[in-house]
Amino acid sequence: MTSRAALELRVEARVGRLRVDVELEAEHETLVLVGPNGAGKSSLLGHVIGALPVDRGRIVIDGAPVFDSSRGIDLAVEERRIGYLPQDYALFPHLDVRQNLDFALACASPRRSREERRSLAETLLQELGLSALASRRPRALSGGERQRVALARALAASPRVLLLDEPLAALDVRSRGEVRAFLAEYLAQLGLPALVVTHDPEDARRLGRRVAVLEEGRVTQLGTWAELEARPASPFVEQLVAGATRAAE
Amino acid sequence: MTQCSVHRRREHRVRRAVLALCVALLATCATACRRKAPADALSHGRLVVFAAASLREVFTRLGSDFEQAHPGVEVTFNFAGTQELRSQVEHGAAVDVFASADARHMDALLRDARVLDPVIFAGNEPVIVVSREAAQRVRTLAELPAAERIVLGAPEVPIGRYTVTLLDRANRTLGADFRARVEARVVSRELNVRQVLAKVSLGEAQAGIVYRTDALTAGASVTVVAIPSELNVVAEYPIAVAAGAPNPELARAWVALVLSPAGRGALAQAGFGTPRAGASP
Amino acid sequence: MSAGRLRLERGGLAVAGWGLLGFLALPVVALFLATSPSALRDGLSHPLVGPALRLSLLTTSLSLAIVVGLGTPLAWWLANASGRAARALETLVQLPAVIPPAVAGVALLLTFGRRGLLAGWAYPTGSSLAFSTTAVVLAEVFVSAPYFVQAATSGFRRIDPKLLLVARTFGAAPLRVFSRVAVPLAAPGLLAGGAMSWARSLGEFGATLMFAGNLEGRTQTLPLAIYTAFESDSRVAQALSIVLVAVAYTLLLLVRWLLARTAAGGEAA
Repeated sequence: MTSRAALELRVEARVGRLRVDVELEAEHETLVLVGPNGAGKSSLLGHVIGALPVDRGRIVIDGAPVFDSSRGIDLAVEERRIGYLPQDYALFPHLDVRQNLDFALACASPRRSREERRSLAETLLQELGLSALASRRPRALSGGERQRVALARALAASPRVLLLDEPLAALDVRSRGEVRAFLAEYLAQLGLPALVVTHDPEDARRLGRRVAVLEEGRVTQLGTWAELEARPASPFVEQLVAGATRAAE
Repeated sequence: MTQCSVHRRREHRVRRAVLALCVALLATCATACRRKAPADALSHGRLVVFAAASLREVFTRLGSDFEQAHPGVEVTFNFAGTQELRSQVEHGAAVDVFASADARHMDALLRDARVLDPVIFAGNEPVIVVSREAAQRVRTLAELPAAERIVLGAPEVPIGRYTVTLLDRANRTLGADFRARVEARVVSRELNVRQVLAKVSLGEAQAGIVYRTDALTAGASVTVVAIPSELNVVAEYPIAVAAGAPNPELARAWVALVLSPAGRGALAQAGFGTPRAGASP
Repeated sequence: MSAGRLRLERGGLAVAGWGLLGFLALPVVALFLATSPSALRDGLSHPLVGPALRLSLLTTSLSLAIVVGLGTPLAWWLANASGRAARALETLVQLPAVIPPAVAGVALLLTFGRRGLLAGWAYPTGSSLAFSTTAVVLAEVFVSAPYFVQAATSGFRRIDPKLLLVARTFGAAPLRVFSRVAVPLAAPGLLAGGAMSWARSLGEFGATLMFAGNLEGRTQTLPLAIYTAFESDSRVAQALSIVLVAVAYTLLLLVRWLLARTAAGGEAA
């Protein structure tokens, strides 16, 4: 019953006409999910956080199941403690940066005093280089800043796992490289199991150590970028590694 | 083979239906055309009658009699509160006949030369209506203050004004504070008689004062208590042809019908009192 | 597209829009023009005005508080519920808006009256809400709530569902998501709905007359006073109507200003 992996997924579900059947394990590492459009990458994140129903399977975090169809376990979204960054970051537009963080802090640890929450927020803001932006509304932030706020806010809720959906898609080409480098480094030092969904080969190569390729709801290849390059398991992977090479040139 | 015969039979039926429809259309057209043929002023056109709401039942009945007696004529009614009707007449509504529940409004229109020669055609007397629960408690006017909740007409509307007058008169015979004792029980001053009646017949109020004609329409849901005639006020209903009536001939014919024995009979049946023939206001 | 065509189409749209605007504004203007200053003074000093205006402001404030207090959770539920039953209920909530007000008043009597559905269950027989100020408030709630619930529901529906989902991933309890995320984000819709609903209850006449009756200081609101005055003197009624229109216009302008402020607040850096 016990599982060594920090995150263990076994998800069978149906999304529209697509049948999702995925089995994945991740340590305290960043695992990148790539695949063509409509392969079920984003919906897989929805199943993991509990927003979309799962027919059968298990989702276990640090040995504790948040979903297990065989044991009738199905924790609510609110109880799973999974950090989730959607593609457009979903910052609360009516709250400033500090208030966005405070919302997450107050939800995750209601017993903390206002003062404690404030100092925790300051620490996080400093860590992500956001101190100067603390009283700005999301509208007044650049894409990269928004991403960092979303990251800080997700971390404020002390998640056990982080899920990032296309974290760089909303950024313009010029800032993307810089933000990517920051994100890769930050996720690596964070030491949380993280799943990052992307369709971009460059992201797939840089953001995590291992890459899982998702095609038509199934994992068709799992390995390091070098392994993908050496032995592409499908025409999609061939195109993917070729694309990354072209971009690097 | 069978299919073909079914098809033919259906075709036959359709043809018969179309034929019937044509005949029906022709028939309607014939009547309509006959209606349209102009003979004299009394056999075509539209008569527009503005009448106080309390006249609805009687006038509607008289209206179909009138249409039968004058084929080709269409009678259109506008039943509403007298004040509302007066405003509409003042603002130039196309009306042939105006029948008011209140001589005052008619007088005002007469002063403005908007109506011609009003005649009193009916009278309506206030009565007490009592809800079923209070039937044993209120059996005479003197017992009216025993009702817990009384609904009267607002003093601004005719029934309310008559009520004030009759309560004042009652002060003389039933004690100087009679009106005050009644008014202490008043929970609402309604803007029309039907509202008063509705509240008593639903049991919300225990007693109210309405016209006899309205009380009769409530049936068994209320008990009617008459008000002694020496204290009572009779509401006079004047009728007149409008000064700018589009159809003055028809309008006069309508007034004549209302004043005729048939008209009086219908009015009496609905609970109206009828004055001596030809009384003027 | 030629310049002439552009001008023509723009002009056509303007004419159509201004046509309706004129139709809506002219009767109000006529009401003002038909009332002389002295008639207005007389109208304002009419003994029915003071108590009726006070009662109108009191009852419409109470009914607005009830409509917003209970209508917001209802709208939130309707915005989130899916399925045929929820849509049927949503339509049901709209029905009071199409029932003629006098019939609505009868329906309220048949429910809360002495012989009504709730008689002897909700309160002892022999007592009734009819003819009380409470009845005025209930009548106003009944006729005005649909306008608020409709606007609030579409306000909640316009919220990006991702915002609500993300809030839940932090462990936010439903009440916190509702009060700290959904309500502030739907604020423009809630305010607009509140204004519409308030305006409807300020003008409410038929249901109040039927259910609450017409007694000065207790159930006679401004529209009832206007109608009562109309029975004796239509000029006084016009003057009172001007008071009603002025009060409504002032308060609606205030709401517009608030709306503009919340919108600006949302965009401020």
